[in-house]
Amino acid sequence: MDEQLHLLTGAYALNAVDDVERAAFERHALESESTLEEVRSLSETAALLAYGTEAVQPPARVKDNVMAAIRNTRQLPAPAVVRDLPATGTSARSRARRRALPAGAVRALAAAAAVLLLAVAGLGGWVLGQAAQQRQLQQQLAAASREQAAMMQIISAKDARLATQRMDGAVVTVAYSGSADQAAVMAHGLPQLPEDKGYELWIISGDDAVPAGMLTAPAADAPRMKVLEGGLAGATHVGITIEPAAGSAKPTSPPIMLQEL
Amino acid sequence: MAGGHENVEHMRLPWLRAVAPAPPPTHEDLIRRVALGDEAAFEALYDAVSPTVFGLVRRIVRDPAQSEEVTQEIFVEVWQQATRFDADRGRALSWILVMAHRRAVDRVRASQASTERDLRQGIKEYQDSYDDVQESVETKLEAERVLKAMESLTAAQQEAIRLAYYGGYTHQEVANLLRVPVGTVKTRIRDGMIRLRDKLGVA
Repeated sequence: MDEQLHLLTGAYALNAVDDVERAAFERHALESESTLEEVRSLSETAALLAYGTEAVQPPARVKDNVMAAIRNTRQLPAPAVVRDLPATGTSARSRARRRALPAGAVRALAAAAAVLLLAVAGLGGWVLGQAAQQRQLQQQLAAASREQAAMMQIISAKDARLATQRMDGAVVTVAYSGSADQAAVMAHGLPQLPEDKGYELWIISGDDAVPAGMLTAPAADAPRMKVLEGGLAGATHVGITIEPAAGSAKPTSPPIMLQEL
Repeated sequence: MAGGHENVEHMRLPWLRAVAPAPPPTHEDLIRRVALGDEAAFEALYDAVSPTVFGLVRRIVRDPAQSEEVTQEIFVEVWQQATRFDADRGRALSWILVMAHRRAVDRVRASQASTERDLRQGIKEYQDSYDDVQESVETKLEAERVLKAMESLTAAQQEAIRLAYYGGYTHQEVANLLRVPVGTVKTRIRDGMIRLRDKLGVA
């Protein structure tokens, strides 16, 4: 099956797959470095095929409609979170270390990050192709986000721990490492809050809670991911509360999730 | 007068260079401004790339009215997603064309569900799909490169890729069209794309 899916790189790059195949292929591709690399380069090649078509000036009304439409269309906020699976940057050594983690856990984390990455850019082929591009090509990878690097540092650490909690349809995963001195939270299915509210993360030491950033969603229904701001020294728990969108200095509501470290 | 004046100009040249008119903005420059909500930049970007986008959409969707609709959707999406564009990941026009292709193909498949596209017709239409290329100045070089690279493929590979990319057919449909096994089409497309990639020097 995997072998079959691997052969779909070309068709995928050309959008010549149906939705079911696309989903299956993306799941497969995101686990395979070589497939990702191939998709990336073939997607870029596919984009060049568009240059081979005759340019046609669209009627003026198209422009009028577009200009009118954008005045009533809100632009998406710039992405603030992990956009790609880290990987190419991963040295053989850290890759070996990663293996020390339960394989299932790493896969789950990678899958979560993958879903996130697709959701963030919301652009199927381009994203996967380009994600692969960043993932695979060293030069592109040099630009990998800090968040991503931090995330990778956590899950590739020897003492990395993953804890997953399920609650009312939501799945919250806390990844943390004492040696990396960092924690990250990923959440799927958390209810969308009113605009003036947000999920705030806390690093808790005993009964002292320090704000660690907001767990925002890149898009409605998209998974949320955040590397917590601040180190873990003395920390006993990571928590999430619902706070005003700008965040609070101290929790003002009981935690909706608490994970012991 | 001329001599003295020239002298002054000459002396001021280093200064003048700093205020010399900037080169026209690239698509990437424009999209960065679009990301900040700059409607004028968006309009300039539209003017620059809409013929390429519309040409691609027309080729895939074929129906003029639907092509216009899809083109509108694409540009609204460009507006919405501009913040997500990352120049490190590739050229702005490629980014837009990938979106455009996806939307055009989605439209073709959606309408196909109700009208059942004529696959045989599809073959005829795309058999010589490069013969009618009239390159705009802007894309001429790129088009020539693509054409050349395309010609280095086997006829079977070219056919499969054209049907898939310009025809908007899935590889399964291409297999039905050509009456060859799905696995064969998959391989033809993949091998052909790999060859194209290498010919076009895509890293």
